[in-house]
Amino acid sequence: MLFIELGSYGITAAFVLAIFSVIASVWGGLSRRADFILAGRNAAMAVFGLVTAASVALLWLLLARDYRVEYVAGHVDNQLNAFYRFSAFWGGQEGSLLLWVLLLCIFSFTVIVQNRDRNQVLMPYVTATLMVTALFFLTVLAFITPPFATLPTPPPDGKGLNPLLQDWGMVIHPPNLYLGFVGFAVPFAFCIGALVSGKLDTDWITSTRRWTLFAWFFLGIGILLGGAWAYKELGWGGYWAWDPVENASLMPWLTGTAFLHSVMIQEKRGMLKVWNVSLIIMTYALTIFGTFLTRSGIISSVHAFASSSFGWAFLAYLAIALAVSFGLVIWRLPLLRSEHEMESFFSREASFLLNNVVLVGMTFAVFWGTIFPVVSEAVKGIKVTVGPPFFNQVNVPIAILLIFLAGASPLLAWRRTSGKQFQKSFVYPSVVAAGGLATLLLFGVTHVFAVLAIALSIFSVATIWLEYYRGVSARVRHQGENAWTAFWELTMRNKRRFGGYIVHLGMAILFIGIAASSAYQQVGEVRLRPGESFSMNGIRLRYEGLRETRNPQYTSAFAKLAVYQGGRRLGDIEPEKRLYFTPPQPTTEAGIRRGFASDIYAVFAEAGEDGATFRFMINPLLNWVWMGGIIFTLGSLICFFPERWGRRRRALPSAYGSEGDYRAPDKSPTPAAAE
Amino acid sequence: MTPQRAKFIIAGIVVVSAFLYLAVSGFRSDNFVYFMTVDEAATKAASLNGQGIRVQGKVVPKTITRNPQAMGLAFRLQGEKQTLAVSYRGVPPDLLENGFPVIAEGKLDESGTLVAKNLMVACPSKFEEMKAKGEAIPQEHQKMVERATKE
Amino acid sequence: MEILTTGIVGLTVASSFLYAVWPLVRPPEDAGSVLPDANGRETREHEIARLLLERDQAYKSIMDIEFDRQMGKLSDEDFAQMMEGARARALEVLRKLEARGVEEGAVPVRIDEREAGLAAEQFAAGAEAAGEEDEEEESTEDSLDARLEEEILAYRKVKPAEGAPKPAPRPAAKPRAASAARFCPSCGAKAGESHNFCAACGFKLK
Repeated sequence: MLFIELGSYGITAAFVLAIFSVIASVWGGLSRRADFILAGRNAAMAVFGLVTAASVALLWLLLARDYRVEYVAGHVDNQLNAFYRFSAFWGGQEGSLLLWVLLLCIFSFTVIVQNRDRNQVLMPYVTATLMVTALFFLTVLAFITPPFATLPTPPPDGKGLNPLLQDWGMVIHPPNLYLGFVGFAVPFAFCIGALVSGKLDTDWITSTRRWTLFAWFFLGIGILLGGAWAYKELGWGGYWAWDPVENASLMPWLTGTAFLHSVMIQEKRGMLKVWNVSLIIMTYALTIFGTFLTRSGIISSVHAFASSSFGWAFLAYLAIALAVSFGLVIWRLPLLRSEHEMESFFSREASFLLNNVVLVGMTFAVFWGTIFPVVSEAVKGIKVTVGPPFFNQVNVPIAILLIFLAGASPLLAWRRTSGKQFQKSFVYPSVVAAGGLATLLLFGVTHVFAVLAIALSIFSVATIWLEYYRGVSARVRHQGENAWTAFWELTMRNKRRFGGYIVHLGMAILFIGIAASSAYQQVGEVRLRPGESFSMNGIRLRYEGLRETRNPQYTSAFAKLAVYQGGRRLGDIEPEKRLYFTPPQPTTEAGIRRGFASDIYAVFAEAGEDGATFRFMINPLLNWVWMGGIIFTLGSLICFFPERWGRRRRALPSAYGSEGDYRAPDKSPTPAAAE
Repeated sequence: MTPQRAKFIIAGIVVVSAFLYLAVSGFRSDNFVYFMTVDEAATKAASLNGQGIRVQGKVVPKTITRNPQAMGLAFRLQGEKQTLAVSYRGVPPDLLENGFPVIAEGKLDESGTLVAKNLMVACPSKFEEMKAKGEAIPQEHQKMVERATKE
Repeated sequence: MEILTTGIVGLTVASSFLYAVWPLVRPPEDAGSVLPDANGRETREHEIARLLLERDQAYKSIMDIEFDRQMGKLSDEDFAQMMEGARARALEVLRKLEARGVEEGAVPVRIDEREAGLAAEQFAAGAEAAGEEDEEEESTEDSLDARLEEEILAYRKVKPAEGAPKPAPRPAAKPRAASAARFCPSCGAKAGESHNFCAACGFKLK
């Protein structure tokens, strides 16, 4: 009983202490009382401790298969191995919410420790905002969906973990996405701190730059990995369906991307202050909304885990958070005036601004399309959904414009770019892109959007190449380094800029992969007897036979297919069909042959003596999507590292002093200067 | 307002208008998919003119016919008062069994059959709900499980 | 068993509450680290930290302009104009820092917020700047750094002639004692009297 009590009392105590922390921190900040500020801070640390204790308790109960607890009985069974018993923590509603608040507490703890000696003006309100967020989740956990509720009689065996979740990809996916969702609470908290305290310089932005990157990176990776998982597991040969739950994670990522760019404008030129605070508030709201969409099942989705009764709580919290946040913005409008004006269309600021408008527009379109069923039902009485056709029609042209901007922007300087210089810089990438365009058309690729998307991605890549070329040449010329050293030094000394270029490179490649695999996917459905073949686009698939296996959790059937191209046997793929026992459920595993140029994809529906039904797909350039993702990861890591990593700290030499002598030149004691 | 300012505002209006045009044009009714009950679909066939619709219902027992050769599948969906014929070509989804809740998306043909492009079967946690509410899990499903576990 | 459970749970919860309210029970004597303006010291510290970061921003701007120029994105006039503005801004920040007792070069460029805070603490306390953790300087040097230094120096030399107000009375600001021009023993480039490193090759001069 220990862990059950520890868990449930821990959550209740955390709930109380979170309230205390909010009140103490706000009061301490407003009245400038250190004792209250410290009390609020300590309370936040205590909340962290209690939530951690509750989480450890739940883990223990899951690993020990303690079926007295309803949650444990609902997600674990006697067959389940330790790894999945561990991941069952976030396999269901209550555990998932506990994970959310656990991550938030870990981040709060980290932020408090990081800032124990700085940002004194902001920190009380930062603590309060983080604790308000925690408080919401703790309220739900304490009163609406308690994880430690017990059963009157513990069953002999549990219900087990949904087979779809018994896959390492699905194990990582929720924590991954939550790192992103929860991470955005930190810059939001600092923003609120800045608004309440009135300290609206760039401190709130520079103090949270890495947190923003961290959250944005993990959200992006989460989206990509979710797509990769769907591709392998769901068997329809695609990776993105504009499903409401997918959209829920995409939207904060889009506004987060906009935010990452627009804060650079505020740092450099003191502009867009109102825009920036609004953007981070929107991003935070979208993360809460995203959690709500995923958990409440309010919009019918194949993803929706279960319809829940607490959706209203999320909406209420969202409404209050938005009202308070924007109220603060309106109150502080006088302090949020821009320091400069935009000088030229041909400036980096202008391109970032356009990028922002486009990204926010895309978010708006996705949001509207996602909630449309709910709205139309409320307004017209019938539920209307808009599917992929709507989303693709609106978002594809926008994405094309975006990738063009990513290419054009490095060619522009801050404030203004000389017209002639810009023209000169513009020529090379344009020529390369035009060449690419011509090549595509020559090879019979005529799908309008695919051609545009690929040509403009090439434009982007060419720009990045040009930047590196010019940068490396400059270093070789002025520093005498060889090209490789110059390349390394260039990147390491300008991590933000060149890390950003590499992220763009990854996005361009990803975009090419999306364009090709969407526009030129080939599908074939056929029934084959053993020995029979099916050909598509130069690839021949020969059904060789069925093989069955069994393990304590499921039985499975593998359909062996040999892949031939031009008469040569490339290899085998084995799509699989499993039937799990608890809970009883069949699943499909696709057989995929991955390649640089295309993926060969097969699933089979059912098999009998007279053959098996197959669905085959050829997805051109699909792996470019994942490759782009890897490059994106690399670029993000580069942006994340501190500027002086890999280079030792040095004082500016000579006139600025050397070891031991820190006085300005005209103060240096010389015989002539008698005091 | 300086001419500089005006330039930017006009540019802003142009961009936003372009975007709104894009968004609104995407909202064409052929992108719409109406969510209906089985009864509505069964009676309103004529007035829909090939509009995309989505219908949710339970599979009527003993109406599933599979044609593996042609990769076809047909069944009827149960509504309040009426049933609706559904046909589907392609790889049938897992979990399609008698009595199961299914969402079928597609267009109605002249004979009033829903030619489905997409079949979505509920996630297993829905079965938990059914059990909790005391509804019986369909017999076929139990038998399938027993068969599998006995081997 | 019940007693043990109750005991552990009770202890956990009670100690959490105690930890939280402790500062109210026993208020801390030194509230310095938590409050922004307890006794004026922190305000000055905060200002110095902020100015240090502004200074680095200003230097970064200069380097960015220089960089864009090297990359061929700026015309000569644009370059000159933007550079002048950026230099002026850098100098203004340096002047403000000097007014608060932080001399040029006392705190290295490109520090982060934490180091800015630490350095500011030390200046506010009146101590000499820290920087001792720097060991041997590496011989290679960023020539942009060097060029930057030269330009700022040059600009500073011009400024007094233009009558820019000096922030604080200095002990006899005198013309530099004339000395023979120095040359770098490694590459032969000309080096200023006060330079410790060669601007062209980075060789340590002193």
